[in-house]
This record gives sequence, C-alpha cells and structure tokens, in this order.
Amino acid sequence: MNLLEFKRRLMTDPADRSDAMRAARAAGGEFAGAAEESDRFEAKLHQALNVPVPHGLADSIILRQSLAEDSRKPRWPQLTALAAALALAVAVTTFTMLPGKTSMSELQEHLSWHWQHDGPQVLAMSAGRTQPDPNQVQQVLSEFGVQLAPEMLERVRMTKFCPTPDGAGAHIVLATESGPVTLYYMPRTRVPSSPARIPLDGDMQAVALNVERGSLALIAEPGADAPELAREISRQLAFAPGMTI
Amino acid sequence: MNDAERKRRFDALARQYADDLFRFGVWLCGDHALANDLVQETFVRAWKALDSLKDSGAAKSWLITILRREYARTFERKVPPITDIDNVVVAEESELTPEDTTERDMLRKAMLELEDKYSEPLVLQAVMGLSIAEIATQLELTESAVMTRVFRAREKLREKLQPPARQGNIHELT
Repeated sequence: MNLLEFKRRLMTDPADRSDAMRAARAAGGEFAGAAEESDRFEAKLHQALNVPVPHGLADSIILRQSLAEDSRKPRWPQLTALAAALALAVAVTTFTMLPGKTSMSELQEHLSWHWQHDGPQVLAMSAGRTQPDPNQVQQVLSEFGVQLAPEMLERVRMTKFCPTPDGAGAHIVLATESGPVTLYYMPRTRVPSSPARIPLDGDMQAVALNVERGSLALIAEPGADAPELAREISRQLAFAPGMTI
Repeated sequence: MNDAERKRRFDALARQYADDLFRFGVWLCGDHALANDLVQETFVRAWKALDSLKDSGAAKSWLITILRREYARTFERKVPPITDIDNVVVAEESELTPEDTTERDMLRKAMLELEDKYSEPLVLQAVMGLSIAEIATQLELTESAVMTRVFRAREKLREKLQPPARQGNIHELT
C-alpha cells in the first residue's frame, strides 16, 4: 500500500486494523506520521461528538415503559372482560373525542418524572433567549388545536413537544415577572380534582388545572403565584372549534 | 417471549444503547431537548415491536432505523434550522485544557455546519460504531458512496481546525 492509499483509508475507516493497515502503521517514517496525525484527529472528533447525555436516561426510559405497561394492565375480573371488550369497541370509534383517564396519583407521578427528566435543563437552555419565532410556537400548539393569545405569545421563550400521561403535549417556558416558569399543556389529560397543587422535587410546585380541552400544569418556584398565573394562562388559550386531537 | 423476558430484553437494550442513540439524535436534529424526546419515542416504538427483533446482534442497527424513521416521521419538520452550539450541549463538566476545549467547540460548530449527507454517516461511524457496510445498508447507499462521504466529512472538519493562512506579505523587521 502506498502512502496516498494509506491516508485515504485512514480518512474513511480509521478503526481499520486489517493486516494491510497494521503493516502500513508499523512501516514507520511518513506512514507513522500519518497514523499519529489521524489518531490525534480521531481523539478530538470523539471528544466533540460525545456530547453529555442526560443523567439517568436509560433509567427514565425503563421507568416510563414500566409505568405505561402498568397502566395498560387490566384492572377488572376476567369474567367481565368480554363486556369490557365490547365497550372498548364502542369507545375506539369515539377515541379521539374522549380525554384520557388519569388518576391524581398518576398525574403526580408523571409531573414529578417529567420535571426531573428535563425541566431544569429546558429552563437553563431557555435562559437569556429572546422570543422564538411566534409562528413556530403556534405551529407546535396547533398540533393540539390550541393557540396562545398575542400577549402570552410574547412571553414564550421555548416550546417543544413532550410526553404527557396520555400521549404527546407541549412543553413551554414562559417569562414572567417572578422569573421563568414551565408550562405543560396536556391535551388529553383531565385533572381529577382541578385545580390541584402538586409538590415536586427541589421545592418546586406544580399547579394543575383543567382547561376547555385537556389541562395545564404550571411549574414555578414557591415564591411565584402559580395558581393565579395558571388561571391567567388558561384564559389566554384559544381552542380551534370542533377540532379533535 | 414471556413478559419478564421481554422486559429484561428491553431494559438491556435501553441500558446498552440509549446514551449513544441520544448522541446520534443530537447530531441528527441539532437539539439536545428534541434528541431526548426522539430517543424516548424510539424506545416506545421498540417496546411495541420488540418481538420482531429476532437477532439480538442486529439490535443496534434496528434501533437506529427506528430512530431515523421516527425523526423523519414526527420530528424533522418541527426542527428549525439550528446552528447554535448551546442547543447541542446544555452543560458539561470537562477536564480538557482551554486549547482542547476551543478545538472541541470548533469541531462541534463545524459538525453543525456540515450537510446532513456528510455528518450522518460520520456520526454513525464515529459514535454508533457502525462499519462502512452497515452504514451503507442503513442509509441505502453504496459502500463507495459512504466512504466518499465520511472522507469528505473528515476533510471538511480537518480544514476547520487548520490555522488560517496568513494574508498578504510578511516583512522582516529590522
């Protein structure tokens, strides 16, 4: 193998340890120099590409799957399964019209998991950001048939899709007078006892309340008037009439 | 496969591949938070289709395929063009020297600027550890096309690390 071919192969497959490549690496001189240069670059590339992974990512995936499976397990006696299957067949036809059935403990568990999962990270990412393109914000929300009033739209610092107890929802960071707050819009989830105050890790608190379609959970520090803020936000949501999600 | 076996298999896949899939997702969509959602959705789909994975040796490629399809199906159209390194890396503890950190950040910025056709095969190779043949299968390309693309990707990144050429004439000081 000549030097040019050796360099080409280092650039296409630097991990190649075939006999020919080993021999070339051991040939010394310009071959050794090329190999060292390639190894140095690959080490730098490895450092650059290996971005930090969210803490406990695999655990959160496993936990989420376990929770989803638990909620899917039948909770009625087998003798009534046939009747339930018939009821399900009817329900499926109107599935998109019906909200999810989430208990308070499931909601609390989800909000706690969700906040731990990426709440502080998303808040940190949004810090110091200017307002994102309002069209992009509305585009995310329109997936769920909802829009924000212009004055609330101005406060949005970040929007993304996120999991909820009953499918996808929106994760929003809003700038408020008492600092940035996190809002989860859960289009298919109803809060069994709305409004509800739910304590979270790190002295954070969530206020969950039902809106015309689905519910909101506002997460703020204890000093913020989260209940009032949540009510104010709920008044600034506009729902597309007749839309199902 | 019974429930316990299914769960054991799923847990093993999540523990083995979640981190690398996240990194692949970050470079695919250029957004840390979105990559997180993408990986979560990938494993939701993997759970549903787990029985179709017959060969555990093919698990990595199988998960990459799910992630890429999920990205194309759900996420791609929602990603604004991002070239901000802060979207890629949220917070990082590092023991690198300032010089190394600068080079690392230059490389990351250069990665974000690479066209997808160059960055994706490179990340599949350098992060996911796929061979040229596996990348070719994954991206539905010929092996020679993959080799050309990873070559060009490295070439472009290396150029970014080169010190800029001096401009104009250099006059000796007397």
